[in-house]
Amino acid sequence: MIGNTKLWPCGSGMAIPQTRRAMLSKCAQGFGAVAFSALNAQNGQGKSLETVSGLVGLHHPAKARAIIMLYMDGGPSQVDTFDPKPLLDKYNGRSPSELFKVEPTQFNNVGKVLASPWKFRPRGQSGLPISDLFPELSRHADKLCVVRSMLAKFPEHTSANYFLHTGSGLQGRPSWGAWLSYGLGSFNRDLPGFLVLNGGLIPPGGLDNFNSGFLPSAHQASLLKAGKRPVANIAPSEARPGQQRAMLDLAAKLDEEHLRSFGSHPELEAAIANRETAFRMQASVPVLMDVGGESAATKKLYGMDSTYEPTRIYGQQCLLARRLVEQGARFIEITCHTVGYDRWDQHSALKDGHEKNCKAVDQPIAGLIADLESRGLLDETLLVFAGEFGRTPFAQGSDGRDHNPQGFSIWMAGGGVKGGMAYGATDEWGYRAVQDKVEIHDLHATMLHLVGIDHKRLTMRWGGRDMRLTDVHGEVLKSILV
Amino acid sequence: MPLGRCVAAMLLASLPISAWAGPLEDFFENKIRPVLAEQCLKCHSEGEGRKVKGGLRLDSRAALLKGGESGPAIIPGDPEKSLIIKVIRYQDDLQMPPKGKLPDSVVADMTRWVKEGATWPGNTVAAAGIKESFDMNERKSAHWFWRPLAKVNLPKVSLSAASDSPVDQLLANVRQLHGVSEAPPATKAALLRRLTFDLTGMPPTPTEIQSFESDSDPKALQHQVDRLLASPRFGEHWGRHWLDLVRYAETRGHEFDFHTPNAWQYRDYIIRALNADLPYDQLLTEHLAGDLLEKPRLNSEKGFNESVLGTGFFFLGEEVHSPVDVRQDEADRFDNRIDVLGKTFLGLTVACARCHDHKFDAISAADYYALYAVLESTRYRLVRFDAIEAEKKLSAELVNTRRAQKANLVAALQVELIPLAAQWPQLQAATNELAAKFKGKANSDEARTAIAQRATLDRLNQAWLEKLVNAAASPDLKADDPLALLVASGSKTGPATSANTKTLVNYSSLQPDQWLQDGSSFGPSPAQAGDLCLSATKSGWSVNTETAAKRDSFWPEPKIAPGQQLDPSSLSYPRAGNTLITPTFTVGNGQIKVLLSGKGRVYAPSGSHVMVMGPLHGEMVSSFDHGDTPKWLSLNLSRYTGLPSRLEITTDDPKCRVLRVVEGDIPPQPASQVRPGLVASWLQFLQGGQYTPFTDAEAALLDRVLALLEPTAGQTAKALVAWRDAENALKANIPGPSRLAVACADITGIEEKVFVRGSHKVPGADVPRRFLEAIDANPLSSSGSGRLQLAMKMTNPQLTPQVPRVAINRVWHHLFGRGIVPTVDNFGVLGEKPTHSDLLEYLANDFVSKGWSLKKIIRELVLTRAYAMATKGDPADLAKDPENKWLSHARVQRLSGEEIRDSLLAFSGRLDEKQFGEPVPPHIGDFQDGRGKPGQGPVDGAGRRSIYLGVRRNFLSPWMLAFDAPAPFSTMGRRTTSNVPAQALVLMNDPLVSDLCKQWAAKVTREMPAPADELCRAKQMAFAALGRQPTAIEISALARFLLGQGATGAPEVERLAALAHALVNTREFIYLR
Repeated sequence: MIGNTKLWPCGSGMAIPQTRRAMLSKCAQGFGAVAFSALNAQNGQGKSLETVSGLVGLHHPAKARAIIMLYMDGGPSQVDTFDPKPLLDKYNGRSPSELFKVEPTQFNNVGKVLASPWKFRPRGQSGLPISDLFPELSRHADKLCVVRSMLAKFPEHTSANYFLHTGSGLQGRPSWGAWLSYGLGSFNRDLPGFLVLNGGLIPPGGLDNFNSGFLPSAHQASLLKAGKRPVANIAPSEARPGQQRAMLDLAAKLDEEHLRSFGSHPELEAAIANRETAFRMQASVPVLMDVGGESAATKKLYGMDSTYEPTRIYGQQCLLARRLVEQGARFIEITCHTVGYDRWDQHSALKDGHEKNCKAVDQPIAGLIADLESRGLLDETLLVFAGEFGRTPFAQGSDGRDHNPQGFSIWMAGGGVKGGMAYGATDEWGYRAVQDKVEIHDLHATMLHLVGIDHKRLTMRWGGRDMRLTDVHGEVLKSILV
Repeated sequence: MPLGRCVAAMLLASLPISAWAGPLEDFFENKIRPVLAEQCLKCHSEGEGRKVKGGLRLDSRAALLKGGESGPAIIPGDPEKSLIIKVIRYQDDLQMPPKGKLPDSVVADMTRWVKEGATWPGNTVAAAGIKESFDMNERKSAHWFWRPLAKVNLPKVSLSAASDSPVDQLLANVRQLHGVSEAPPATKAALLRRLTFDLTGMPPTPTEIQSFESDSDPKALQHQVDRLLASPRFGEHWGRHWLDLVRYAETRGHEFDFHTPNAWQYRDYIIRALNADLPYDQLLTEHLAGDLLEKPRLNSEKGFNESVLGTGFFFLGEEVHSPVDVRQDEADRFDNRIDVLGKTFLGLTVACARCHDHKFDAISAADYYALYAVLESTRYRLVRFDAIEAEKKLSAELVNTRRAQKANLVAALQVELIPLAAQWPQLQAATNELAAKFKGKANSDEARTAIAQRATLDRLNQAWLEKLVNAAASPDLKADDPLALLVASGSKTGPATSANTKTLVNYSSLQPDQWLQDGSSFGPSPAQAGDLCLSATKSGWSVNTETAAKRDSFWPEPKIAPGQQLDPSSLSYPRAGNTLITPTFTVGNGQIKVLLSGKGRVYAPSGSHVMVMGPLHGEMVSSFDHGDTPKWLSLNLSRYTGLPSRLEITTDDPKCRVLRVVEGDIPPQPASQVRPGLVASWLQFLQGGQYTPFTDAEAALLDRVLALLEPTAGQTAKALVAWRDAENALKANIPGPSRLAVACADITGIEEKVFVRGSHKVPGADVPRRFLEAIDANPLSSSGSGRLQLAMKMTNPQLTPQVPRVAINRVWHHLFGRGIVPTVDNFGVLGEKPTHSDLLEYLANDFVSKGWSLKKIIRELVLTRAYAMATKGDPADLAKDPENKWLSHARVQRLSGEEIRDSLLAFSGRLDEKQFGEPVPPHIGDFQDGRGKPGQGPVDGAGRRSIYLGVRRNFLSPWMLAFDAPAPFSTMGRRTTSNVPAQALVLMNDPLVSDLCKQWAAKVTREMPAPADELCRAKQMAFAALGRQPTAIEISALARFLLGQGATGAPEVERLAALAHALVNTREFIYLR
């Protein structure tokens, strides 16, 4: 069954399977799960979606069955969102190098200490402070666990993106979702394990942020776009009705003859099954991706009635994420939509840029939380809101902020994490994490832990090492767990 | 001081930090031991199932004194120098505990404890010593891969059918041992299909199959093998295998996916090399050191330098623009290069030793940094590979010509300059006196009389004396006029450098191996002060006024062929063939000054950084325009303090001369005196006699005086004309426009320190440049990078048996579907063991003895009985050996994405067999997005084979990815073969597939006109797709399908196109039996 450590992760990656069953299980990852579950169903051993989609874990019981990564491309500013620093008001306009040690920055254009243009207020019962940039999200403050002591290691977008997504600053490593797809697969036989809902922007580093690296290619993210053709090659290419079915029937007939004369072979049989799965997906995936049937109230909840287009687009992505989670998808990442600025990367015009970025995501994310909660899915779904790094507490030029990997904020909510809390701290400037520092590896370890995986045991032998998402690092953030 | 620390310091000052008045032992027990226990020992002590981090234990005083990888943790009595105090203060990069700073009071306690001698009561345990976990010899002797190639005695086995092939004998031996049988041969059609795909990546045509099937010659198979090995398609297919090893791509990935200039020249080089069956040892040598070969391999048709193109593989990886820490970035890039080098050629994961000694194999961190320094001593460049050999040859001819012509000129000068040489001491003295006396009024009658009298008195040439005095006494005489030296009594004083100046490069005192350039345009050595050269002056010759690297006007601006890519950055000016490279120096304060004349650009590649673009590192590139007089150019490299750097000075300006590079203040002019008898000793110098080198001032004076006095004519002028004619004749041989390719070049050989735990911020022990210690511990002695020596060691099978083993195993893997060592890129402890050790040793020996010929070894292997077996295994064998390790039958293999696409092109007649050249821009699908998105390419890739499609790192072909083509980030000798519905979706719905199916149907209809009917055409299509004649049952299925299609009203070509689409979707098409 899915999650059996004895079968896989396959210790040596491409070890030749020993049996037909092992062989099929090798194929039964992501898309391949289809063939596997279909086979089980034929054998009368199949399990229905409902029973499979419980909180199963690979190494221990899971607290969450799905993860939605709300990726804030470009790096939101921690001191303007979730990490209030009154000292910045006091020293506003002073030269930062007189006050603390300033690290080299990407643009090397260090301005003055820059107070946040937004007010922070205690929110909810917990009093968790959130700035006025997030009025809607603030209503859910008691569900958020803000980690204020993140470290990113890389001050450039691309390396930092790879690091956030793959645990390595280098290109070519498997993305977090690929690892999870490899470890757990999908609950839905017609859905890949790892889905990226493309809001319009592809982060620096490109699609390699979502790739499968040395894991089998089935685990690379499937990029979904809203619309009639949400996935590449999903629309039948035949002009005439029935032609494709006839064509596939002929192929099946020929394959049958082939197996009869050349002998059966498990890999061939699996490939034949995959062809049928692909045929079914042509119909099922577009249906999943169509939000047309959702009620007006639901759409409103996600901000899809907004007058601001980026809010409508991001709202649709969030709604799709909820639909996919309902249908058994497990690892989803939502990328941002452009707001006329270079993502959250406000090297200048911080005020306008951050306001627009927040406006685009605030209502949709708040809607997602509310909707998941009302459907009883929030407890089983982990939300992770994160950029690749934060921003400097001092200005770049006069009105921007440069990259800051030394300390920044992310938050988690939902399945398995405590709400209404802040974990870790930066120094009095919001510049460096100083207390309970959290590496990206720790974040990954915690995400894996919550879906029932021991990050040290999910490995793939490649290049002479047993590779992990967390490399040789990572500690689960036990104190934020429920 | 940071405010936080400032506040802490104030607090400390006001609090009684020595409040603990009791005995020191108690202070330790109460204040120190608990902190160590709670905060440190989890990582820094030995315990079950964990490692001691950083090799540092903190559980005894002795262990603290001994320290770990970064040195002793404490120096009792000196907290400021004690590492443990530094790290808990968070003052440097190493900060402990990692998760957060200790309270200031604890830091103060620890500081006090160290200051007062680090008392540790009751601690009588002697330093237990950190356990030496890495023992090179033990590691080496424990693993088979390090052993020499074994001589294999062929077994005596009784074979059911006689076979001459030692390979079959060795396989049979192993089968017998494990009690499995040998499958019968595959059908001829299946065998030819397998063979054709394995050797060329293309399907056989029905005609080829039929002719093979009907060929009863016992050598029929051999003929097929020879035909396929000779096909140009062979190199295209095996070249694709090779490109997987070197993470081939044409762009550099990262944020904007900038191009790697002309990367495809490497791809073409590989295809040509494989088609020409370049011996593998030579292929390896060309990869490591093709630029250093005395006699490089020249292209047989066009004469260009092939060997140098191999070195491009180092630079096919990722590059980052504007990294905040260039040294860190270098460490990451080099990690990748060492990884690719180690896996590709040695089958070893050398890069695992970046942060520590290898966990399993006999590879130390020192080994890693020994190779790191080889890369640091190697320069990235674009090479003019069409022109470089011709330029080298011409450069040598130029040296000879000049030597001969200069000798002629000198002979003439000797005769004509005798009077001047004889008179010069007096002329000099007289000029000095008279010019001082008549300063500003040399034209007066009085002066003229004095000059005439003096000339008569000293028997001097009056005209010469007049000219000299006139010039030297001129009111317009500038301070930097060389004649000023005469007036100033022949001396300027001052130290050569000041205390604040450090000379980094001095072209007047350069070691021969420090003379580096890209091309030949700076001549064979620095120009010497006082030497003769041709010039554009009236006399046609002049004297070099400085010892300097001098841009030789013989060489024009190097011409570049149309369409060549340059570097995508601030370095996008042509630098090949016209660049001077200084020796490598370490950047200190970074206030670099260069004394140079003329016009050009300077690039300071610190930390090997080549992607100069964007917000940072603009200071690496600057330009200068100094005219004829050398001036100081200032560069600010302070960002690169501590890093090895050099200057690359690019110019086409014949005025450009480079004298010195210093760091710090501009040094004062060096002292100079004019020697007595300057002209006489100059003549002696020209004749090659013993001489004291001329100072720049002397040389300038000589040049000035000779130009002023014009003491020569007649013979000198003739000699000059001859020289000029000779050089002009040579100019006809200056090569025309050249193409460019990425390649290596040597620079100063430098050495590196181990980066402790992989951090360049924590330097450890020095290591010399060398190969892996387990193979050869001797340092590489050459003065450059040592790559050629390294290549020679690697291609010596007695020394490095790993190389032929790895190579031959790759061949086996591609032909039999699984390597003898299945982990083809890792033969180390964590790799899998060979299934047939004797066979591997036999083949490695055989390979070497066959002159490292890949084609010969492939030929030998595909002619074995084992290769020709059917894929259907005996059930009893399958039960005994489910993985088919002992090769009782052939393995079913899926075609690669490239083979599938190329087959469709072939079936449809769309295939364009054109070889080589610029990549076809890839077709970018709707789902491919991101920065650096390239322009759109044609859906069908212009019909070219897949290897010629552009490979853009951030925009990889979804088609190829779906069929497991590796993302190009490191060596991938064995592709995964996944089996997923996404592949079916590609074959069902990708626009290329339906497009080619339509073309295929049209082609068959065209080629098989009536009386051939639709079903005949369908049968022919099935034959092509499946590589065999369809059976009767299959034919009736085809017929039924066509009938059904007809019923929907589809015209014939559409019916056949749909049939083609069905054939493409059969599994028999994409799986080889």
